[in-house]
Amino acid sequence: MPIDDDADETLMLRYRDGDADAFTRLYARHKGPLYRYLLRQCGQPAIAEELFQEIWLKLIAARSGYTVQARFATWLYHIAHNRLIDHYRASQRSVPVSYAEDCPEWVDVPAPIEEQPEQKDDRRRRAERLLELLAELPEAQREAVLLKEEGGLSLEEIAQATGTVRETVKSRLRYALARLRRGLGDAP
Amino acid sequence: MNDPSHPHDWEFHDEAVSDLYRATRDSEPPAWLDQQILAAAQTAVTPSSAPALARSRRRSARFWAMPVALAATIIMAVGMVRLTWEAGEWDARMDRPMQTSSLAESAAEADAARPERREREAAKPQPAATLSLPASASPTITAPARMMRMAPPSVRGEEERMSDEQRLRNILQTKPATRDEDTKRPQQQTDRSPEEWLAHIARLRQQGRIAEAQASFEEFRRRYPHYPLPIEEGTD
Repeated sequence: MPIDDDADETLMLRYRDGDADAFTRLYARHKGPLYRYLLRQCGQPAIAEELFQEIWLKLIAARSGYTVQARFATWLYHIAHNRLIDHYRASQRSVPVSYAEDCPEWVDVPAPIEEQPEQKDDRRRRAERLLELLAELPEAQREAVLLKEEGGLSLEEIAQATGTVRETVKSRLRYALARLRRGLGDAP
Repeated sequence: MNDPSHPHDWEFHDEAVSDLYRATRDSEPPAWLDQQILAAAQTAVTPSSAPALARSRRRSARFWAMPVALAATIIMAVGMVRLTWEAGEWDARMDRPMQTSSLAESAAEADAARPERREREAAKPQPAATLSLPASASPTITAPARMMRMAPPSVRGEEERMSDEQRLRNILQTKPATRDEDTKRPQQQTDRSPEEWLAHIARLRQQGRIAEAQASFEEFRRRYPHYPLPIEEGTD
């Protein structure tokens, strides 16, 4: 894949070859989205920070074997997803059911409460409501939304990062957006 | 960060939701976490350059080893000399008569092996060598005989000139005496009166010193050719 000098992949290759400044630029570019992805997936800042640090340290440790086989963001969130699954396994004794293919939970998710009309004009309040609705989504659906919004991944890239297929990602996103729209009162 | 090349079906993308979500992007990792991760990243790439850095340092150390050692040696030497100087040991060592005495003693021992030369040296006037030493120099007992011999050529020339003058003066004092001896007799004869001279010649004849009496008489005639001789018995 063609890459330019300022692309994430180029910076990662430069860091692999010993350029620490390249890593600094790469980190500044991805630290916020990754942190928010983790924070909203686990819900606790302390855990999010711990996972965040572990993911970057794993990336630093894996630098010597890095080759451009996919977008850097895809690789980064693939590491993050795997670390998050490990966290789920460690804390909940099992992977959330929402990650299962054809998860029945999707249908059983309760519809969000309709917003009050006075709150619709308040953008900030709508954003907070969006975060509340996002937190109520099943992990797999939420993850698909976050990888799309924070990581900027495409359907295929989300599938690669999460180890699933494109159709599954499409289903997760479809259900997720429907719930969010409904919760925000934007449902048609 | 959405890739516009990826077509988003309305089922999978809602711009209103995405816009609202972007308003929530205010959570960032804490600064201390940033520093830890960046430090870890920096440290991770540092070991790869550490060997080169170590080699460079070793090479640099070898390059500077010789100049540093030389400078250290010079500094230590100067420091030791300065300390010795300040402690007064330098002056003491410089003024110590040991080496000078040893030279004098060795010279004296060498001279002792040649008694006649030693006597000659003893006969020479000592003050000339003593005067050649500076006032602050070692005592007179350390003034070696060798130094007397090593007196400047001007001193030896003075001695030789003095002895030549003395010898000439002695000769001059001897010459007039010889000359007086040579002229003493005729002067005594000329100082005598004719009568006394004739009486002296008569005594020489009576003593049997005929030749001397004849020579003295001839001298008398040369000096007094017309002096009338008394008629003596048997003279004619």
